[in-house]
Amino acid sequence: MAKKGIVVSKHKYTLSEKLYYPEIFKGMGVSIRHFFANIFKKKYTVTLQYPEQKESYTERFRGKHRLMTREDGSLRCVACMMCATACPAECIYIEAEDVGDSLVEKRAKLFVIDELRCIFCGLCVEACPTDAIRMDTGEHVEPEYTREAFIYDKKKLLQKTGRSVAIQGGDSDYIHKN
Amino acid sequence: MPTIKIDGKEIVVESNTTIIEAAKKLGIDIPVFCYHEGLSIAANCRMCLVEVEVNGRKFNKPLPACHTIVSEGMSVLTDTPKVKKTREGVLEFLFLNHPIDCPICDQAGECYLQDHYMAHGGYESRLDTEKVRKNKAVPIGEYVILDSERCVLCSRCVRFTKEISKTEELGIFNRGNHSEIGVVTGKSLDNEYSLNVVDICPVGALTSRDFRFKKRVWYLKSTPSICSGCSMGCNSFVEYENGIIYRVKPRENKDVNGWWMCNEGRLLYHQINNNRLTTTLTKGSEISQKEALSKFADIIKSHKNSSDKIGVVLSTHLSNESAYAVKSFFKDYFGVKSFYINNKKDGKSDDFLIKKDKNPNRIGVSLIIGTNSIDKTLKEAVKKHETLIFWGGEISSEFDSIESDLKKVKNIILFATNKNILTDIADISFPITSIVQERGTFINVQNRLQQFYPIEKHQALTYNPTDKGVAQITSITQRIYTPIEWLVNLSKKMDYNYSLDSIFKVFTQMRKEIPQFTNIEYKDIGLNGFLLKEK
Ligand code: SF4
Ligand code: SF4
Ligand code: SF4
Ligand code: SF4
Ligand code: FES
Repeated sequence: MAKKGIVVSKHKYTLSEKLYYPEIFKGMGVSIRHFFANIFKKKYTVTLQYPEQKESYTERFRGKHRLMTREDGSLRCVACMMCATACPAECIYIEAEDVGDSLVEKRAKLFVIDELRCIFCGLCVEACPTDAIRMDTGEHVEPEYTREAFIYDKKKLLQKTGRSVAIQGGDSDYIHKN
Repeated sequence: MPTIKIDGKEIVVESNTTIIEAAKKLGIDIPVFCYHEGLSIAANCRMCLVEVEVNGRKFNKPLPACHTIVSEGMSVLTDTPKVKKTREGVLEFLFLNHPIDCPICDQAGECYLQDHYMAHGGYESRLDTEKVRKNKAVPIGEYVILDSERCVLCSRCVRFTKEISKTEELGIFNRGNHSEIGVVTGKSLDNEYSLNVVDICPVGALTSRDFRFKKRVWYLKSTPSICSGCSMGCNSFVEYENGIIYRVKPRENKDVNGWWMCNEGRLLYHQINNNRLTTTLTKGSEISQKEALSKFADIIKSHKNSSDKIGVVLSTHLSNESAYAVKSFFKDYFGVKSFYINNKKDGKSDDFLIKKDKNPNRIGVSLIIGTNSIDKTLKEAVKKHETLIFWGGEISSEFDSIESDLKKVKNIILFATNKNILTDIADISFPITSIVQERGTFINVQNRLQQFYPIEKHQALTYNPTDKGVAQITSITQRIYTPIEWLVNLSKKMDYNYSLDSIFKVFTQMRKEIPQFTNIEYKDIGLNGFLLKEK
């Protein structure tokens, strides 16, 4: 079977585009308009003085990962590997360990995300059954000098941590009463 | 021989067959918890209920497929609305007090409850009271850990300890909601076969302490293998990821090990993962492969006119193919006549699977060497030869008595899988692949020829997980070769034209020479082995 596709027709240049100069001046016009707007009408200024000024993102913006903690400050992650399994970039590496108490039982000994490989799809957040991993920091991954520095370990992922009281294991009584 | 119909498909079966066995033959899947082919039938979980008609008359109530014997004219329906409803009902009861621990449960991914819920459940929970709490994560023996909350009380484990291990440590205690599996007072689940209960437990109630939290099961790949713990050669699956083995499970073979395996054999994989010899050594310190090979070649060349000064010692851990290749290499090219077998010490045994002969391929290797040509013991060997070539580094039963003489032997060349005292003594040690890294055959105590397969990416065994897992680098400095590959390397070094460079060529050659093998094709061995005729 032949593959079906969409036929995309090539853009046809108009006369003014073919003449080249009218388009150049149109473009210059936009720049010059903004130039005067910035100088005389401060209110309409479109330039941001980054990094002092920042654009605010929507709440749903998927930024740098962070790991959440329980009310008592312990890591919420139970090393179930759901995020690592869901991750299409295969950039999460977790090693589990036995906590030794029968209430939590399991936690992550190693939790590593390679932020350079991450494609910020958010599937890990969606897959997590315990609300342990979030991408709601609203921040980009900072630039670094080496590739290794983009490999975030538990410590780095906990820098922006927060408490989450989401119900774990589907049984709300469980964490509170026990 | 009654003829019955299951979901409209007709089949003729033996008269004592149960519905579930007949359905299995037809490839129809009936969900179960308590039914296990290797155990007696308890019919207590009711997951397998099906509708049955005999000669057009339908039974009012659904019947358990695992317990109902077929009869002439029977017609079984496994896919009616009523059956679906019963399955859903049974599942709802089982899930009433179930903790749904899947994120921290080692069984997740191979759990009957998960599978059945996805296939037959899918309802909303109607429970609005609190769940009954039971004991969690209680070690009940050296190797097994129990989580009573997850148990579905199928009694498979109880039946196992009663019927198979015959040790009767487990039982069901208390009543109703509060029933739970427990260990009989004063006992602990410490029989030689205790880890089998982990396999047969359909849920995560019994899990292995050795495997606990090491790996999620869906990452594991599985390769059929043979246990090399004793001469029984239990059939097994080796389960691994990235060349590292995480667990070994028994593989069904009714003629050999049934569905079971002993704990010792299962945990043998630690030896394959750890303390491996990965580089060529001389007296325990590393040298390059090239150097080692030319040293070896020089030693052999120096015996050009004194081949009786060379002795070749074959380990009983060598596959038939490797043993044959080694023998023909040294016999045909160098005229070596002295071959010895390196037997391991006898160990404990029982009347079930564990055999006292701990040599997985003693029968095969002795068949290949030919018993007449074997010089009796290693004791004589160490006195007689200037050069001893050990294939396989297992410590022989005679080791203690020959140790001092061994140290006096001029050249000791060793091909070994693991580091041990021999690698320190040997003048040259070459790393060889272990049983999970090559293909080959063993002959077990029943005279059955059985084959094993290699796992993928075997060279990754030297791989060191770093703290930052993702950035792992495999630190392979040298490739580990199979014995046959080493022979080929060596022949290249010495400019011989050695033709037996694959196990299939070796096998063809073996068939010509050894009468027991004459009428076997390699592909006939299959997964269940091939019983050899005595000759
Ligand atoms: S956002 Fe997507 S790519 Fe990044 S870690 Fe999560 S699942 Fe993987
Ligand atoms: S899915 Fe959540 S709980 Fe599971 S390993 Fe990932 S972060 Fe941890
Ligand atoms: S036994 Fe099965 S359903 Fe229960 S917690 Fe374990 S994996 Fe989940
Ligand atoms: S522990 Fe497992 S095998 Fe034993 S009764 Fe419970 S569910 Fe069945
Ligand atoms: S499998 Fe038939 S009743 Fe349990």
